[in-house]
Amino acid sequence: MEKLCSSMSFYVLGLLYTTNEKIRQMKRPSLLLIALLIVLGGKAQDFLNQATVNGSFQIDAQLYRSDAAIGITDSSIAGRKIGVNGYGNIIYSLGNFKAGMRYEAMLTPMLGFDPMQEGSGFPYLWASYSTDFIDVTVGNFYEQFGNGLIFRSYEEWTLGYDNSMNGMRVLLNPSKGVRLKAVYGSQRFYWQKYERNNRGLVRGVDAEFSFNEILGSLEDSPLRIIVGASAVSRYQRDADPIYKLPENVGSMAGRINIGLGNFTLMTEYAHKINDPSALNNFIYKEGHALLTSLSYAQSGFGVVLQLKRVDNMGFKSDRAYVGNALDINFIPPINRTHAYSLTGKYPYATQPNGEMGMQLQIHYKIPKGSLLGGKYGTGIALNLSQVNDIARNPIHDTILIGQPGTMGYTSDFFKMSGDIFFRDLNIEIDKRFNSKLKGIFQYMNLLYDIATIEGHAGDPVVNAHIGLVDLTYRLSSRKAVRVEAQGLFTREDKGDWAAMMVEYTIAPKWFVALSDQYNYGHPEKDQRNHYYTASAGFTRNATRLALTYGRQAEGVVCVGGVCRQVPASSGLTITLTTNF
Amino acid sequence: MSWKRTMIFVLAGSCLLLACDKIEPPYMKTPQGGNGDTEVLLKKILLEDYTGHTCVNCPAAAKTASDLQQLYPDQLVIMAVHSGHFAKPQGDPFLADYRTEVGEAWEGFFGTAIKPNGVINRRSNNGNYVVSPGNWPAEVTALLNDPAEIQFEITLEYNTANRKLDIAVKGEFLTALTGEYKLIVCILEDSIVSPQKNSDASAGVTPIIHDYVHRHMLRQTVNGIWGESIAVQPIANSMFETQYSLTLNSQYKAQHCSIMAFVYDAANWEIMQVEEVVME
Amino acid sequence: MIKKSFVFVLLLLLGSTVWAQESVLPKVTIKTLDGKNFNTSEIYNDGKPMILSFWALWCKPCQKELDAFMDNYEEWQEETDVKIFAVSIDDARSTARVAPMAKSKGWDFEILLDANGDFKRAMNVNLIPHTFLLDGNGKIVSQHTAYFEGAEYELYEKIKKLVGK
Repeated sequence: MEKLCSSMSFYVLGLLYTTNEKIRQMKRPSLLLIALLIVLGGKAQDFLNQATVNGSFQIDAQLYRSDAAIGITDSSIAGRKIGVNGYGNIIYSLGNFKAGMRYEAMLTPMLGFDPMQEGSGFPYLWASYSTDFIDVTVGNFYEQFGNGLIFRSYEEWTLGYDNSMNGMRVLLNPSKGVRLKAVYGSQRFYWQKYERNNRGLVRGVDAEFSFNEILGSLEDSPLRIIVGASAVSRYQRDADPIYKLPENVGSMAGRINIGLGNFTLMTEYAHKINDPSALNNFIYKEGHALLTSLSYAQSGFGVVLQLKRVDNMGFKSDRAYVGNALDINFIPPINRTHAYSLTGKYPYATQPNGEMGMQLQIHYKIPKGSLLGGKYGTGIALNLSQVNDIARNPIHDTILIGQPGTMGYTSDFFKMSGDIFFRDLNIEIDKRFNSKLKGIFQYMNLLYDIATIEGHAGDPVVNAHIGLVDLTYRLSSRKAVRVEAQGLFTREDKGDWAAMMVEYTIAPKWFVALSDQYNYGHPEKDQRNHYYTASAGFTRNATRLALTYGRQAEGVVCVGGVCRQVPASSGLTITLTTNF
Repeated sequence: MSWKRTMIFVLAGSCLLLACDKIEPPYMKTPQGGNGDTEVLLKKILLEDYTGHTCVNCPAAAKTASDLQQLYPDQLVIMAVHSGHFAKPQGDPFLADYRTEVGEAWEGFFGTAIKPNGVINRRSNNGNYVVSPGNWPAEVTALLNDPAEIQFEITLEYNTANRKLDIAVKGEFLTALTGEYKLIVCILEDSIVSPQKNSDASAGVTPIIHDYVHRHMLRQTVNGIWGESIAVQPIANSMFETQYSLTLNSQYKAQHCSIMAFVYDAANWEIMQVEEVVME
Repeated sequence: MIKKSFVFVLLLLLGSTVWAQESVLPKVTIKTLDGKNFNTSEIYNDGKPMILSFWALWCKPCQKELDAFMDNYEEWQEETDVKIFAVSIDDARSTARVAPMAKSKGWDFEILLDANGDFKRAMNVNLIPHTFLLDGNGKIVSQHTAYFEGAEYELYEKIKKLVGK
């Protein structure tokens, strides 16, 4: 414990030290001159008085110990007793000018992160100038066109995912209700710098028109129409000795968002030309994706129906790469993201090579004072989602479905395969009993095809029932106890689980919690392990320090459509975040 | 209205941006083969395929490697290193253990834990040695015309009765070089039939290929994990020669074994030359 | 080299800056529930205090916090005219589900969609729930991450102090 804390502060010091060292080493007079000119130029006063700086830091560290019962031995730790992922983000702004940087250190990365993450440096540097009319960014940036079906650049720290662009971006607001975007650059690939031909370049444009704003007279009309269109293309050299590969792969998408009173219809269709890649096994078929949602919302009641079809729509800036990086587009999974440990045990990830899915979600609040609503009203949420494979037909008797170097297959747009990748039917009730006690109750029925979703061919399809109760009892205005009890029942994979958690909080600063996940139904008796943890945390303003000691079960962490497999671990985890 | 003009502008702009390359069949290039007709002696290339029997995407990667070898039979040498999590013995039928001490050490050093992944001539790009299978064809092709700086040959003598094997490696530095050079000699075994997980129908049946033919499998090295030094600052036309005697492990089928050796630059591990000789 | 010099210039700028605690909101374009573009510099409440809370559908404590705000909102508004802006950082996966969920819960806040995390990053939000208290000029008076039962009372004390009650 003592040892870890000191090594933690070492990391923070190290961070400051390396940057100072960089300044000391910087003896180039031209740079100094530029900097001096900026500072001494007529605006020196502004820099002193009007500029603002803000930023944030986060350090996640794990100290591992061997724990034979869950299969962690000294040799599997292999000397890497500490994993640290840390970053510092700083934004400088002065009027319309802004610049920022992010320092990252993963020395060595925590378990479950890609070994390629190991390293430290400034992967994110940018400067921008923006007015109401134009916004120009040079350096690194994040951006999304529409729903991201053909372009989305973003980061997700908890997953170690970052596909930031390195290049230029221009945003324009030429007139009210019109917004144009253009992006150009390469994408981040861990610590590998972009060099000529080592991966592709991405360029794209997007336009969005909000008709109600363009035609000022319709501003208050109950009918709202927003239309958008985008185009993205990737350039990557063809150096392949076997296949003729397209060096420029284009994609286009169109979207429309229609609102009428309480109804909203949102739909986006995307198309991509031939893009043989390691992800689709070098087939030359075109790709497409459709995402539609229809929703109705009024006070106390809301319903959403979403439909999706994806066919051969993986799009990366290196056609040879298949890992969790370099994605140009983002195909959102459409199913509920679960927030509890057992309901989230089997999370779904989009299958870019092909899937058809639907989701229906209904929210209803039984009004206060009614028989079922009670004194405070009762919330009910029903959610159903299912994803199937698309139906594929061979293009010829002699050619296998998906055979490399061919068109791959044909697929009828409206035809779905009988293979279910994922199904989730869940109902959640949210009820307050009195001024002190409230609870959340959930039942979930799950079908999860491990073989497809996690790429473990031969593994079974999991069919599970999951139930949970989450009760919060207020002891006083600031103190509360929360108890979570969950059960997951299945005959497949690792069998049945039970989980229990007790948390005591003193608002707004303190929490302590004890939890245990017990894999009591594991088919192999010696693997029926307890995964217990004890944790405590302190929050003051935007600074939060949390410590967790215990075991973490092997699992999958997903945010958005990207997932990361986390191996079992045992030890101490520290998370420190702050913001200024 | 200005937004109409903007819309036209945007459409025109996107058309310019989208220099789309629509490829018409046939999708395959006419095979070029290596540059066998040049006067200059060329470097051979070692593709190390880090693999494992429970890695579902590995058969497709192995197929990529063997397709490439068909293209460049004289210049490409393949070694399959079974290592890490996916090579561990697991529940039936994955009981075999093809891991080696040397393979585990290389995996740790080159960072190939995620599979399938390869290392090509142990060349690094900013400290990264790993090349994903999709990049193998392009990376191998890019190295085809590099002239050799070292030339060597392997000669074998094998006694089938007592399985005694004598290996001699004899070679020459064609140009003067700075630095230190080391030699590693490996025993590879081909055509080992053993179950393999698979997810790619074009590489075989899914999800398990029970009679999968594992090729070019690393069995052992004969001179340690990092080999031994053969020269420091060699001058042009200087020679080197080393010999090894051992008894071939009775587990190996002699008729499927080959001896593969490579010389690398001790400063950066980059492989300078590779040779492979099949035992008959 | 370019990177190094960039870092260098930036550090120099930082060195010559008065480290400002009272930030004004950054200008970032996000969306309203209708899908319209919304510039965050337009977050305004006629000179009265504002609460800016970052949340997501997958974040239970966030929803508990917003429920707690809703339980007290009427009283808070009567006393202090405070206005709540709830920024959902749900990505394209769930943006369509935000409105039906929020409306069914009866959340009467100004709800905004930050689907690609642009506003989140500009505000240096790492973990959610992350709640800012802003004064009438949009300056950050205080901020807090995490939500525990009863934290809303302390926030309300701060709002009252801000309006001089």
